Amino acid sequence: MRNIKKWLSLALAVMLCMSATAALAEGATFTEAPFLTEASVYGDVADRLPVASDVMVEDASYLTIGTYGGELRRSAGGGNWDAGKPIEEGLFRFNVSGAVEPNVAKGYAINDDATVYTIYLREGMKWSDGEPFTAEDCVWFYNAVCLNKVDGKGVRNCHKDANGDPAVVEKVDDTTFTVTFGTPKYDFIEALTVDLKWHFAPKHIFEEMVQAVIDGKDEEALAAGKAICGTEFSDVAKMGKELLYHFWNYPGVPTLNPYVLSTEEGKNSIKGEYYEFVRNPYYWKVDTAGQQLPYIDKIIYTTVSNVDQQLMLLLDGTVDYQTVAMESIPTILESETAINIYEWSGGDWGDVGTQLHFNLNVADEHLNALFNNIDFRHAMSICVDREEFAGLYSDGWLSGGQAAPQKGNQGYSEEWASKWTEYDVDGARKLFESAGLVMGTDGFYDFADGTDFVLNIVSVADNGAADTYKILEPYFRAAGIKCTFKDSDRSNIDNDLMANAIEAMLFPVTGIGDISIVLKPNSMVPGYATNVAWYGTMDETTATGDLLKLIELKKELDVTVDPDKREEIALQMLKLHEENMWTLAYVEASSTYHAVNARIKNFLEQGVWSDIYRDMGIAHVQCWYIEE
Amino acid sequence: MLKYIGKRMLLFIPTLIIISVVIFFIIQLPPGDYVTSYVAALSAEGETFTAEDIAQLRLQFGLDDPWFVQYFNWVKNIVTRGDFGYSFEYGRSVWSVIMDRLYLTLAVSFVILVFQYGVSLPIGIYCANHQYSVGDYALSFIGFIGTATPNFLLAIIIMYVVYVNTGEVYLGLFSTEMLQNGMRWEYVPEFLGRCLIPLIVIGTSGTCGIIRTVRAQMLDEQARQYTLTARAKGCSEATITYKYCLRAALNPVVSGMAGSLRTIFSGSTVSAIVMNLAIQGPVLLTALKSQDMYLAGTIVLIQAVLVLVGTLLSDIALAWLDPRIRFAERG
Repeated sequence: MRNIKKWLSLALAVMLCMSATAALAEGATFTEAPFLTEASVYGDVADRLPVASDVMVEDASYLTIGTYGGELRRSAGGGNWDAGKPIEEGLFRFNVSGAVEPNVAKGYAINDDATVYTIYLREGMKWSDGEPFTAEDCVWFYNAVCLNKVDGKGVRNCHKDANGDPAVVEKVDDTTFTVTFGTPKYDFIEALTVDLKWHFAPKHIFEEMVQAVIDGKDEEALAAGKAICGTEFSDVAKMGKELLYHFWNYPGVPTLNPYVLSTEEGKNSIKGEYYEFVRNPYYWKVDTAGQQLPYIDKIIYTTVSNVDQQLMLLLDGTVDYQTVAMESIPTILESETAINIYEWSGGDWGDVGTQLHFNLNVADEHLNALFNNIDFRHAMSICVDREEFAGLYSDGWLSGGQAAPQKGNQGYSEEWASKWTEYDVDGARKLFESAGLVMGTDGFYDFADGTDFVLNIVSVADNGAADTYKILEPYFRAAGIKCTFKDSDRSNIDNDLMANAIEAMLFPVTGIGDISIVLKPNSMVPGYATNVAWYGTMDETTATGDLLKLIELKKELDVTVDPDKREEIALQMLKLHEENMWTLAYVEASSTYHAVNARIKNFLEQGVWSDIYRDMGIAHVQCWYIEE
Repeated sequence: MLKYIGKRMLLFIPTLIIISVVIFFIIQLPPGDYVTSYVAALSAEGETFTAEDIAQLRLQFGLDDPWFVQYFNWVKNIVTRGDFGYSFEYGRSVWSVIMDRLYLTLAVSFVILVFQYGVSLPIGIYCANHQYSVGDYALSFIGFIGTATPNFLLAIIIMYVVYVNTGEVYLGLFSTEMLQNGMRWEYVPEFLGRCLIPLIVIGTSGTCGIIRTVRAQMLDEQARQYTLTARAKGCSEATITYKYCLRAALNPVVSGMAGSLRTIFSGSTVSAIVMNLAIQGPVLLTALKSQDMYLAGTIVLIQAVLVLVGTLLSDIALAWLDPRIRFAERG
């Protein structure tokens, strides 16, 4: 207990010491974009920012002081997360080192047994419409929206204690609220940052609408929703999800983001031909010189029909930023437009398109025993000539690989990344035999009792797995494994996954791997998701051996507060994966490539593309500026 | 004639019912539904769904009913309230999605139609009057290129040539500046320039057919007895060509216009996607891909209505144009 207290005190001290203005240059005063000064309707910048001591300073070491103005030109296929993640602001966020840090929140404190979290907000902070942002917005969001599932999502896992009971969220004062759990919740802040992110909504805008939804007055609620954003929704469920979950997609909804969707006709629909996200005059972050962010006046989106058109606009110089496929890079580098390419790693364990998952919980006894036999998985791995396969699969762009963490991610090791990758058909045949299979008269392996063994592989239709299978199948056949392949609609696959009716899956719906087994264990620990092919419906009641150990370690992790101990447990969990190789991949994971017009400055050159980090969001678009 | 029109219009009703059932049934045929594409699209962006979420979405969108129940509700709302349903993909009423692009689609399609007939008729007449001349061969050759080359390929080739020579990517009818600032007089030259590529690409696709039809019909008519008689009586060549031969030669062209109304409403699809034109065609494709059945169903239904109306109009026009048809109708 003394140790726990020590770590809690340290965490508290660290969080509260991240004083917002610590990095502000001495004597710096706050300044704003000329765009806002010229508009002269917003008043003094200092009045729009939180109180000086609570203003957040973007002070990452790679950032330089920028200049105001210009447009970030993007092309898009229609809003949603592509537009949302880059500008999203949560209570806490991940920094480029992968650590959680205060963001909208100023800091937090936890009690001794980690059952009560006190969240501190920034005094004087405002919504993009100028109304005060207070603890009331956070508390109301949880109590009215989440508890009543008005946003279609309800109470997230981060707000549930060990018994599954929801937390109690209460306001202390305008800048403080508490989150109380029935049992200790050591990872609340990290879980919140991954699961929910924002934890607030503008009560002054939504209160009437949400109350009408709760009271079952649908017509009234729909009218209120239309009054807010001008959109006529078909039903309250859709409206709730759109306005309270995908809120940045709708004009007139105040946010805390650096940019908000324009309310101007012709520029305000993410389904339109063109739309703009314009600067939030009340944005609460500054650079180290005291300049209010963002630097760039607006993000403009031109809707295009496909990725080829996006590439054309990028080459033409009319689009500033785009993630691009690896094979487009030579064309980009040859273009007359000055474009920089930046490579970011990701979280997938090998290329997801080549991941092969065996259902370790499959109902058929023969298959269950076989899939759970490590020799079988070993044989299925080494019977494929990875370099030849990778060449055919990716036109030579990728090399052979294995289902293992990428370099730089937790658990990475060279041995794991290359484990069972040596091509050896004879070795594979011996392993199949030691796994209990016997060669039949037809040249294919059977079970020991003489019944046919057929590996029935499925995948989602139109995801390219059918083509991958055509390249992969001859290797399996040559090693003596008879296979079938069937692709099916996503909903059928989901149903089959939930009914435990899948035997093996290529290009799984949920590929294994993420940047952290602690933050998002869904694809790596049985029981955390409903659509992971390798563990299917397995949970602690059906798992045995190392699989059960994996689940138990995760449970131990959930109640461990010591960071070193947590790291140790996480590594033990990953080690179990490395030893057992429950899933296979045949090609290395590809990186994410960012093509950025050279006029854009302050782009994060080395990053990690992960949903946990909000993909491009970790590049902090509010800090980008334009230098022609 | 009025009785004939009335009879034809009454026949519209059962035809439309059958068409609408077939449309709805076919849109439902592919495995999965809108929720499937919705979940797949959002999963690709990193959002996670549980089985409960998916079931809830299906309930929310009314997709858990059998297709014929969904069809009945859709038709009932159209007939009783003029409500064509809700577009899942666009998140608003189907009618508002269609109206968004209707004017531009009509304008683009109408200009293209005028271009097609404006170019093809004179060329067809010229080719017939100058059969086997260099001009006949040259113009027919150009027409054949327009027809033989897939529109989208022609679009890519022209866009590439324009890009190489001007350094500009002409995607869409409006530049970013036009979309930002609205249309201004100074943008008119660029706008017309941007219209040129779709005009050539989509326009030339139909010209060859019309040219060949007019040419063949004109040659047929020129060989008939009445033409010989007119010529023997000393009628001018212009009178023979435009007053007699052309009028008779236009019959197949006019009956071919029945489908034009449908084309005017939806515009081109594949070429529009290649050229990023904000017209109705790509909306239909998007709706079909995502199984946004009310939107797709409404667009195809309107197209069907327009084909029926177009057929009726072309029949009326034929009767007006050709006395033989009028007299045959009177018995």
